[in-house]
Amino acid sequence: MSKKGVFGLAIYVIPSIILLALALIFFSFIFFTDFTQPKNIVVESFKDDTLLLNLLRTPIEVNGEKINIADFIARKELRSEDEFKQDWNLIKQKADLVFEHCYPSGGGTIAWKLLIYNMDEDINLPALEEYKYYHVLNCYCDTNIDKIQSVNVPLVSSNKFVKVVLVECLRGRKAAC
Amino acid sequence: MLNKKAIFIPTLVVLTLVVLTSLAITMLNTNKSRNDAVIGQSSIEMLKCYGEAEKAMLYLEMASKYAKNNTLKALNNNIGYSSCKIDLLGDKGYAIINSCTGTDINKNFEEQFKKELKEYTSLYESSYSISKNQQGILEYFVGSEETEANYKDYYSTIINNLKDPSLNTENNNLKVEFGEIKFPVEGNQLKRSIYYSFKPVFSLDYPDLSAYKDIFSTYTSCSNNENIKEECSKRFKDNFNADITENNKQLLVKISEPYELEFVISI
Repeated sequence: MSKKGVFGLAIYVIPSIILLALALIFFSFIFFTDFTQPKNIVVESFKDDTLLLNLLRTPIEVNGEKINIADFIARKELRSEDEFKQDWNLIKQKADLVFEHCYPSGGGTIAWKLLIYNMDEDINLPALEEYKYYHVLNCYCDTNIDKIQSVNVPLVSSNKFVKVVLVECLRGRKAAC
Repeated sequence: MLNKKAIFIPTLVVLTLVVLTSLAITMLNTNKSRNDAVIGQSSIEMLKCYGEAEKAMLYLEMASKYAKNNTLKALNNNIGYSSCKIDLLGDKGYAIINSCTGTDINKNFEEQFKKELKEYTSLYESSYSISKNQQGILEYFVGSEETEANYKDYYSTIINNLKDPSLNTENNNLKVEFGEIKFPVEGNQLKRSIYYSFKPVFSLDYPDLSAYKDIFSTYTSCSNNENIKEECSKRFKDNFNADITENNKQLLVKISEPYELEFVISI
């Protein structure tokens, strides 16, 4: 081989081999590396507390005074137990209206109940005061159901607060209930 | 020495090496962060934080309303003054108007309001909770129980330590303006610090405190007289249709309009 031929081999063939080797290493790296895809989740399972907040902000009229449901609950200590239960019907009616907007297919789509926990007590204990109302009894909601929303509401009469919990149950979950 | 033509190929090799190496590093890093990423997680984290802020806003709105009512009760006990000595007549305590201090009723109202509001905000407890699903779909993406406790604590502490709001009067309304509140968004997966900030402003009816001012001025004018007993009895009867009872060097004044008030004038 001439001197020129050896030089040609050095500047063209060797780098070409190196390039080929690099490309081979790179594509093998892509091929053998386990590239994970982002995990899919069921986003619909997430429930924020908007529905309960809307319910608590719903205006009602009690004894001619315009308040909202949160105020009504906050004044519960100012009423006797019987009075409070009697007025609870007002909440039922208003809550129906709120839920109908959320579930436009009309009544019968959900069952729900509202619980009020006295925060003076250990919250792990069963609710001391529990006012149940089942919108449509196609499903019995249990507190273990995942559609739980909760908001803390201050009380008027004392510097304390109660925990208001809304438990929802969709008709599709009847079997789970 | 390589000629111009000969230098091209080695340069291409070096450049290719650099490009492919950086590409590989980028791919590996992206892959690493994808390992922890879950589609929709950051959106849900933000929604959860927004929900917490809404709940805090509802709490603050209600607390402001009730703090105003409690303030009026507290002012009523002190005839609108900031503080008074209390005298026991029978088993009931009455404020002695002669011992009262702080006659600026609006200032008294604002100070008492802030005190009452603090009682409520210091009590706030976030109800932040991790979404749970019976099938366990969400268990890996919403964080550990430690995260729940941490964020619950963050949100509670922020409201517990809120600075006093600024109070302004606008068209007979009391404007309660809190400073900026920053709630951290749960965001472990992308190793970032994101905050949701909000500035609660509530408008309440400004209470009519004019009667207290009238009581102040009536008392001030009658107490300057030599004959306090007759003068004060007369003026409080004329101005407020008050029921006056004389009791052992004291006048017990009972007013029913516009507020129900009972206090003592020491003679």
